Amino acid sequence: MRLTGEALKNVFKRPFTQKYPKVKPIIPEGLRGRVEHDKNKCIYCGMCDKYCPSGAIEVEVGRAWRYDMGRCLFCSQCEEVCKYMVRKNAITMVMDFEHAERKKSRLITIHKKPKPEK
Amino acid sequence: MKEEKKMEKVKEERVTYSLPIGPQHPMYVEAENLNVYLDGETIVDVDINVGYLHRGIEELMQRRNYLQNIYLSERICGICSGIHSMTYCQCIENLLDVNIPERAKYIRTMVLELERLHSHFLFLGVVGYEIGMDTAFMYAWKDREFSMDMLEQVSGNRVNYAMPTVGGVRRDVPNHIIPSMLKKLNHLEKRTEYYRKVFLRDRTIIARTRGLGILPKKDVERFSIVGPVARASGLKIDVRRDTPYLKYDDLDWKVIVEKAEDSQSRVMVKVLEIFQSIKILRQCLKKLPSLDREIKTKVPLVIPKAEAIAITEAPRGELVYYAMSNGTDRPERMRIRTPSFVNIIYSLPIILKEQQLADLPAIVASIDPCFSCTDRMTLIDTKSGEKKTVDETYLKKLGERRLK
Ligand code: SF4
Ligand code: SF4
Repeated sequence: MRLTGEALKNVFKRPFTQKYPKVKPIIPEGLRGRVEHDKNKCIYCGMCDKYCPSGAIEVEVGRAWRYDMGRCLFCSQCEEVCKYMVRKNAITMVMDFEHAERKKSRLITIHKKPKPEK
Repeated sequence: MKEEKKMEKVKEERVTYSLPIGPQHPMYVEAENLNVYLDGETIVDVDINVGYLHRGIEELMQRRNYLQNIYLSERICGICSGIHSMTYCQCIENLLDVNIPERAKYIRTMVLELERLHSHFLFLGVVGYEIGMDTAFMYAWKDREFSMDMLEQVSGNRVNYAMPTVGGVRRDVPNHIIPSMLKKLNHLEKRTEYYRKVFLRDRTIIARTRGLGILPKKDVERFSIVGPVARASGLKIDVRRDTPYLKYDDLDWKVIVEKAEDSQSRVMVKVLEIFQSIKILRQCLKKLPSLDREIKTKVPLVIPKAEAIAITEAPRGELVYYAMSNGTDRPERMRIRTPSFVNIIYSLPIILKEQQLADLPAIVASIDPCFSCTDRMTLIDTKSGEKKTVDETYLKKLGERRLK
């Protein structure tokens, strides 16, 4: 039996798995992580709302931007829309992948449009 | 009809009892129900009930715009998610009649082959697991990690890659990751060579797969069974060769065919296909740096009235998308035909006949079923147990009743 030999060989090898919370995995660059929204760059136009496939982003046009991470698919469509269609670059996906929270409400981000300075 | 009745009678005489397997059963992670009719330990007939994972995706697609649908189509299946979104995009590109840049074609081919790699490794693991050989399962899945890592490097995610968009791909493959990918491919090739030997010669595996679950070639032709299951019965069909899409006709690879028609040949087809995928990937990676940087053509998001179809070869067989547009930013109708549907519904009753009950998990696993892309709607009258599959005439009648 060929598989037994391989199994015995592997007994003396280092484990392939990682001790996750202590040892952080190596993340390749370009991972689509958390959605980060820049309050000041955004013009609250609502285009990201229109193209978000899961309805994670809701925009009150001209007033507020709401993001629910619980519904997000991390597809980066909003980033693409904001960058190439609106040309504002207000949304970026950062390489942060640990999003667990104890309360649902903490997954929601609400950004109000800043008052213009006089 | 007469013959069917006769068969029915023979079945009734022989069957001593029937055993429901699933929807919740340790045999398979997905929810499905096999009603197995047994004569002692021998399987006389199988009734397959799917539909526990029906999500109404085609209907949902008609309510979302063309860009949102990319991500929805990806979620039809967790394992072959890339091929679904690529076929969807290809279908919409056919609607628009646009050509995508050369570089995008190469990147799409690459992602599809990487996906085939990880899907086939997953399959090897599942077969090992169902046979009761957890060692094979663990090792195959350990090696699958390398292909997942490559996908993550290329696309930014491990499962739902979100790589294509209508008119091209969404992100470029930078030149500096190519050497590390080639290294991983070398490792995978070495491991696949090892699995080839294991699945060909290991005693346990031979005992549980060789000569079991025979699917004759004439039945394959009769029921239009597709993909690796058909190729394992000696039928040389592959959409990549028959109606080439993307870059498959420019690359050097060949269709794997096995003649034995049994479970083991179905496994071997997939093992040998891994080599072909690695070969294709190497060619793509070699070609990539010399290509123009353009990865996307601009496409309109509102599509005039048209109809289009796209056919591709998913890891499990032929995948068909049909789209109809109506001049808005949403499709009027989407229709998806997945490979597992034919493979499960038609081949399972044939290959399970006259087998032992204990062999059922291994045989079912050998056709690599994917229940989540199989589910259709069947109406069941809970009182009488009468079943009815919804067809066009029935739906029309319903519609007419609504209009009155
Ligand atoms: S598309 Fe960009 S600018 Fe427009 S609302 Fe969304 S984040 Fe703001
Ligand atoms: S990443 Fe995708 S799902 Fe998440 S908010 Fe952006 S568009 Fe919506």
